[in-house]
Amino acid sequence: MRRRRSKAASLITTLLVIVVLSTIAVAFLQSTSIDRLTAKSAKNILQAELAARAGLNAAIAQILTAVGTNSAFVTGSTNYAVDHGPLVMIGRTNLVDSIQLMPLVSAPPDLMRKFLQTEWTNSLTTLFSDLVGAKSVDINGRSGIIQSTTDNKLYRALWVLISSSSGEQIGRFAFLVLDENARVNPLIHSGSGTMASSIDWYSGPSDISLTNSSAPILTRPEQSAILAARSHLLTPESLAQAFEAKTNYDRVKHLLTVQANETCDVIPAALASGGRPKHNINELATNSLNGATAELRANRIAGIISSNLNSFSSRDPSLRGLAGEEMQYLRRLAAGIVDYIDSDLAPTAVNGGEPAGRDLFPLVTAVAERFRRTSLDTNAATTTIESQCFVQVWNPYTTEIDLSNQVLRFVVRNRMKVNFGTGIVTPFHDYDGTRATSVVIRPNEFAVIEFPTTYQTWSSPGPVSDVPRWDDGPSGNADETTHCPFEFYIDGRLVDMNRRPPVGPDVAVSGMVRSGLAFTNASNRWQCSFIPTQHSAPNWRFVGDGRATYLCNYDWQTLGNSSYVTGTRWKGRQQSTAPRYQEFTANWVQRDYVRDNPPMGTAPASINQTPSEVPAPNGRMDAVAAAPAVLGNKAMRSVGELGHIFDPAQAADDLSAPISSELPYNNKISGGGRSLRIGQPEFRSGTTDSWDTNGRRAIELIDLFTVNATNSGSGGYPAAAGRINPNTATPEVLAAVLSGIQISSDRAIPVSSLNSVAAIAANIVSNRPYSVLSDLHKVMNSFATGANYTPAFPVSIGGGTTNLAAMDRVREEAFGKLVQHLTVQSRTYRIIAVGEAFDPRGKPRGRATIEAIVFLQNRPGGGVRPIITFQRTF
Amino acid sequence: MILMRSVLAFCRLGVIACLIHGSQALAQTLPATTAVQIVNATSVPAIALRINDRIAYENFPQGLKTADSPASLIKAIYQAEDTRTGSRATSAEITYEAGSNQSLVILGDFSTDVPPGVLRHPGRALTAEEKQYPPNVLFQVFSHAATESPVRLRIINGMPGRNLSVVASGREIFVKPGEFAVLSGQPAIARYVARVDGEKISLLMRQEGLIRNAIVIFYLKSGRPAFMRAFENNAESNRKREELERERE
Repeated sequence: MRRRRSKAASLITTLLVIVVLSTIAVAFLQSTSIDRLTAKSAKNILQAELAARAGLNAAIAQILTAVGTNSAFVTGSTNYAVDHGPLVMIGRTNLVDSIQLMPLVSAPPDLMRKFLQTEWTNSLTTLFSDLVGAKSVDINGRSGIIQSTTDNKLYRALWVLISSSSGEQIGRFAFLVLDENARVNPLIHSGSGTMASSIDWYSGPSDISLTNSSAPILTRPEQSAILAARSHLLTPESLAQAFEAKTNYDRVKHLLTVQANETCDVIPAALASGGRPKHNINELATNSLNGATAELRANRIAGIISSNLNSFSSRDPSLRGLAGEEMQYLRRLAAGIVDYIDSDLAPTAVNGGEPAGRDLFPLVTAVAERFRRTSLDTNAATTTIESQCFVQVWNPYTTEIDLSNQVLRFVVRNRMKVNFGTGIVTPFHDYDGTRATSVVIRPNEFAVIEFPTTYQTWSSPGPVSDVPRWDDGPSGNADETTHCPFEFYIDGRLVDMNRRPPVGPDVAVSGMVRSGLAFTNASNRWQCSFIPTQHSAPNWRFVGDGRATYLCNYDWQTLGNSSYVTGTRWKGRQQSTAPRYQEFTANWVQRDYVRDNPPMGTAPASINQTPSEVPAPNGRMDAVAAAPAVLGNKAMRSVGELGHIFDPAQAADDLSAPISSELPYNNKISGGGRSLRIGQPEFRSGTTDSWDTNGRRAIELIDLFTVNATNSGSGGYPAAAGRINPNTATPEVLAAVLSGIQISSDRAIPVSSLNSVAAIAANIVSNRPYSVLSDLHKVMNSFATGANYTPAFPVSIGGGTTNLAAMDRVREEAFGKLVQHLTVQSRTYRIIAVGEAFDPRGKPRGRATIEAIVFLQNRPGGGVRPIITFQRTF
Repeated sequence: MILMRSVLAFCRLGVIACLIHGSQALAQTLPATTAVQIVNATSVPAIALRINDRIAYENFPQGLKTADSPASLIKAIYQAEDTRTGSRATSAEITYEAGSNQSLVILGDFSTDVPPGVLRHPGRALTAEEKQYPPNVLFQVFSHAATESPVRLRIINGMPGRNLSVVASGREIFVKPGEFAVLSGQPAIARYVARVDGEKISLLMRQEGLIRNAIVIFYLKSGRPAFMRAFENNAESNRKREELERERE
């Protein structure tokens, strides 16, 4: 019995051991299986990550392929299908020629190999077709990594298969590249700057506010929270911390970036200097390294324009056709640029001595020359005549002109030959009067400067019974073919004059007409001459713009004694009757619109009251604000300020070369009344003379010049942070930029702002692409529509066209404040790459996503090198 | 009473008659005047000009002219002196018509190898064997008689030894030294081209306001061709001038 019990215990023990061992064995087997599965999963993940990394590298390689060695690449986008997000593209040289357009999305290698080949266009068609098919994946996916999924936007990319060395397909990747310059950065687009200044049209990216009510991207609390968390916001997703709810962040996350988005100013590839840094216009104008003298610097600027914008010089129809003559136009224009920027008051002389630069000095608009016979001795046969000049000058600029402690000099040449008795006919000496002055001339103010009296005596061989006289000019002048030209100097510098050599290329000379008169008594004799405002033949008129007097070959018509009291006006505008027509609102209407006339001057009480004794008129309060021209005398803050530069083109209203059958001058050279149009539609004509054609638009200067400086990391290129790319930015971002712009240059109209920024942004989007910044000329109408402003700009209708009845500077102010925030070349890209691993049967068994920020830094010698500034995997 | 009135009337008539007679007598005593514009187009830098043996213009540079106020100088003998050399040339006695206007144009270079009355023609060089003549100076008088259609342009070649031609209306007109050509019916503003021994000279005439006939005289200045313009006053132009001046007063 005991034995039987012992056997049973052994059995039980054995069974227990077996059970234990079995349990251990099962447990061991189970453990092995789990480890095997875990290892397999880790392998899939790793392979997926590797695939995603391959996608990232492929994306960078694709960007570098797109750029090549061309620093002048441009960044655009295309909408290839409805409901799909835009696809970012890089154009090696432009955004129009499809053969060099690279979409920044994954694509099969066999397709990519056709880049820059003729088949590339078909490849793009295939790519876009495949993107909406089964071969692609929505990168945004369920996570909404790019944009909230509630927006239902698809961001698809093609899968690219990855094969092992044995040819086995082991995974795949897809990537999409987004443009960070399409986004705003709440850390730098903080709104702490202003877009309201009438003078400084740019102070930095902080001018842009993201909380303006007309186009808000953030609420004020959100903006404040972001700025408060500034030091913690290192990654794109970290911005979410500043939002109260994730849904709030999701709403705008596709619009935001935390990157500085520095971009460079590169001359477009299509130009001769394509790929080289844009020229800093402030440096060109003032730095002696660019020329020891202002003239040399102006010549350098003219040379840059000429060598890059081959047709630009043909804007001046009077010089069109001969390269050497057209260069005169460019040098005149460049002199104006130099003088707008440099701080001195002296006009830059070019073309052998032309005072072409329009600096901050007043311009002559009328001259009164007073004569009086002070003695007549008929027996001794001598007579003495005194003469004196009164010069009315005008300050057309919006800033005061301070002539304190300056020496003014006025010269009249080629004066009248005096007939007296039978004496040898000799002319008056040149009038050459000098005086010190301390006058300050306010904007739009006319001032009369009195110069000294001079005396001259004539004699005859015997007793005379006649009085001294002179004959009608020009045949009565010292030079019997021209009237009397004047010269006006300030501190020894010639600042204004009638046209005469060396102003060329023709021999046209203008001067003040002198009509014959006899000194029958000892009373004053007046000869009052006025700046030409020819209006009887609108096609070739000169509009009385003192900035162009040195170019204008119309003679200055003259009123004599009979009209001195009844016809002349001093210390103000002349009345609009022959021969003056000094009404800017009427005469400049086809050029830079002048919103308001200055006050009309006062008539002398008698021939004994000189123009300087005439009381000043009661000026309207808005006269100061109505000054038509702007002259900075400071560095430009926005390249849009080039629109303030006086345009010396000698063109009629219809932009043709003024022609007259009137001898001796075949070319009636008119002009004036225009500054460069950058910010409103270019001057147009129905003829071949139109400036609104490629190569002639003034706005193209912004493709050559910048106001940005270089920095230590920009590789010699001018650079700026926070600029927005109008080719890729969403309408919301563009609207936000536009929403802060306030128009304040014309104090005579209320401060206004763009009232339909969404519509203007939509217009900018619909007019894409912009291969160069000047392609924005396509949207200038948005800024020239008075109804787009609140309060609306007044509108005038003249010459069959509707114009904004606002000063030129106001019409260009919105664009001038916008353009400095724009670039067409993006340097910072967000790459989102998805990778998947395949099992042996080719089924996807793991997925990984990499998000990275790549900055393209200039590489010496051309092209770029990528710098990854941020990367995360999930 | 009637007698008294008759006596008074007679006296009045008498006084009037006396006044008329007196004024006629006064008019008869005033010297006749004539207007002469003297044009120095000689080819020397300056002359001194004596009129009727009295120095009138001590220094009269070439290229200048005098005013033409009426003067009582109906008969005149002019003597021009080259102020550099002292060489003198004297005109014949010139008799002007009273109440008329004219230009006295003085040409020449005071050379002595040319017979009087003409300027040296091209191709005639000075040689030691040449016969010596009086200093070669021409005193030419041109009446300012009005024409129906100003501008009448008189072109004078005052350049010794130089050929002159002028192209006008597509026609080339040749003028020998010392001679002149007349272009009638010219516009007030016109450009011509003159050629002097192949050298082109642009000649612009530009009159505005008072339009008159004109004379263009070519001479040599430092050996190079030069020209000057002189405008012809006459009774008609003087009347128009006065009208214009009155309007402007």
